[in-house]
Amino acid sequence: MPIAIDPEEIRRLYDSAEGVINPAIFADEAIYQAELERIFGRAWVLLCPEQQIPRPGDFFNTYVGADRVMVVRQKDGSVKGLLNQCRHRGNELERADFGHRKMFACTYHGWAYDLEGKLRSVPREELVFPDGFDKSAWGCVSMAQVDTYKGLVFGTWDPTAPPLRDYLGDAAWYADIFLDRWDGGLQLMGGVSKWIIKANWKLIVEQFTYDLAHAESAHPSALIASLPDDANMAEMRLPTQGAQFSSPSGHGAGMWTEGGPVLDLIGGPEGRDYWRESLPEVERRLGKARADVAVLTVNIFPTCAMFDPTRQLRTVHPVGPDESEIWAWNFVPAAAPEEVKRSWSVSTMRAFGAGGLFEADDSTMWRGIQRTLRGAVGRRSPLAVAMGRRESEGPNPDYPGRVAGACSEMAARGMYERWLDLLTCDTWTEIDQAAKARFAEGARR
Amino acid sequence: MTSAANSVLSSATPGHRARLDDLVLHHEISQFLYAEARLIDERDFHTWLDLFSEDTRYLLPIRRNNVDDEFTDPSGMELAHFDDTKEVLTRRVVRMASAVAWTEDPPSIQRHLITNVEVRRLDDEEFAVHSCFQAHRYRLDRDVEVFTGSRDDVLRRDTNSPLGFSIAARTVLLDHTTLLANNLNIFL
Repeated sequence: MPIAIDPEEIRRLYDSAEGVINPAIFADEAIYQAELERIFGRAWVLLCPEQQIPRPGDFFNTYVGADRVMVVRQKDGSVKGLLNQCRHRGNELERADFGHRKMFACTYHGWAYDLEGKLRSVPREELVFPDGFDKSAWGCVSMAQVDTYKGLVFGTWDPTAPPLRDYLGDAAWYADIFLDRWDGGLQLMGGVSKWIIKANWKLIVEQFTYDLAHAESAHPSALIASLPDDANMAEMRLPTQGAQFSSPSGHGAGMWTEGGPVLDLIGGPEGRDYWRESLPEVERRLGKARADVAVLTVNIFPTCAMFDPTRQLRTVHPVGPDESEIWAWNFVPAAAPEEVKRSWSVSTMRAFGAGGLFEADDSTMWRGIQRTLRGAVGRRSPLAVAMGRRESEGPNPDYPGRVAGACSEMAARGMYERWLDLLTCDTWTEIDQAAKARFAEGARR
Repeated sequence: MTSAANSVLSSATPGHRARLDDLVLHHEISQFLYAEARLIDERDFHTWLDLFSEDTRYLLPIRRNNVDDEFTDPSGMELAHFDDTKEVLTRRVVRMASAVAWTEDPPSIQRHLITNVEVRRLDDEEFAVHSCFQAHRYRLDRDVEVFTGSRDDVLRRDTNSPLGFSIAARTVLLDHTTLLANNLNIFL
């Protein structure tokens, strides 16, 4: 696999033991290009929720890295991920965001592909290829593996990537808090909302991998705006009880186990009440430790983020070293009354949509980081991702995997470890070995 | 209305009179929209908030590139960037005015241009008003974002409103499917 940068050079950009990052990783074009090849070209990436493509012939246009990919429901109910590029002259096959097709016909010269991506017809084929043309060799470029986990479709370009379930590992236990909490399952409310952030993709997913601690400093305006007039701001404190999970695959989760006022702010009154009243159901399904999680963020590396109790799923598409697109979906309990579903979704958009009371602050921080990285000194001066480094990280009776306190940055360090492994290792065997070695090291520190 | 306008109106034929009424109404409403835009640009958000009726609905639905035609569903279960009551708008204003809303610290410089104003009478007191806008947001030094779109308002004559009309409903269509801005922390 071609890369333009030297693995040894990349290894110097991140020191996990000390928790030190060289911020060039958020700004360098060569690193960005390497990420497209070696991370987005190999990892399991969220394609879309299954509910975006319920019927055979339904498609949803997304990105994997910077590549346009059509996620297509097949006649047998399975899903394929097809590169949205005609094999003839390279034109986009499908320009709409989503829809339903029998065939994907290129509008340039008319080459037409079926739902599986097989090239079915070339206009005037006998005339232009008098000696014949092997159409079977010119089907759409197809993702090597596509699989689903609890309603989410993931794909990878790499046939040697481990199966999705192995890739998720212990992170599935945490993702289930979002994906599997109710008997009636989840309902997607509307479709996807999209906006851009002029900042590197890792800065955004990093927050969902672990960072609950930023809220007090970043979001006071949303707290002031959201709380009742008689609330005493001086007594307002964000929760401190919680935990953080970090996976050898770079996934992470942050959890508050006391809801406090936060639960009142996001979800709206109907969502909040449903959340509370359904806790016995959640405990029956997932057990007490997970039912006790009041605020949850999860990121499946690289870019599949879940957030409760907002019920928001996100992906982050890299657009360049200094720009990203956020795509967000709202999932509500399918068995809830219609009014609850609507209210919950509307409340989530108010808090964490592009115009959200909280979200706007986050965009300012991510943009603010990126603004500091134009300069040579800003780009090379080390950043500390070191909080909680001396804390104990290890097994926990309530949670699987490597667990630390909620205000640690362990899971960020885990994310950058995996980022480094993917950029520097050529095979998944090497990637796994690197992760095992790191974990053995982690147990010693 | 000026006495000169009154005198023109009193001498007009009924057909003329109706057209002159329309002209005056169009002028009043255009002036209202311009004054409203100025309240936002001058960051007088509390007065701006007072323009909205208690029963208002402020809606800014998401738009999509659909196969067949542009798809926007402002009615039911689709997503909207904003689907606000007066109470929610109030929260947004409280946030903006809080001095700790970091997106507006320091404040962005905004200019709302209002154009293409069309007025239709719903009854003597209520008017359906279509207009187009371009809002320019300049932040800090080099961050510039442009928001273009349309508004469909229901305006109501209201002596309690600071500008003579209240906004009983507003639906904003922003001319983006992917919002090309870091956030929608802006009133449109």
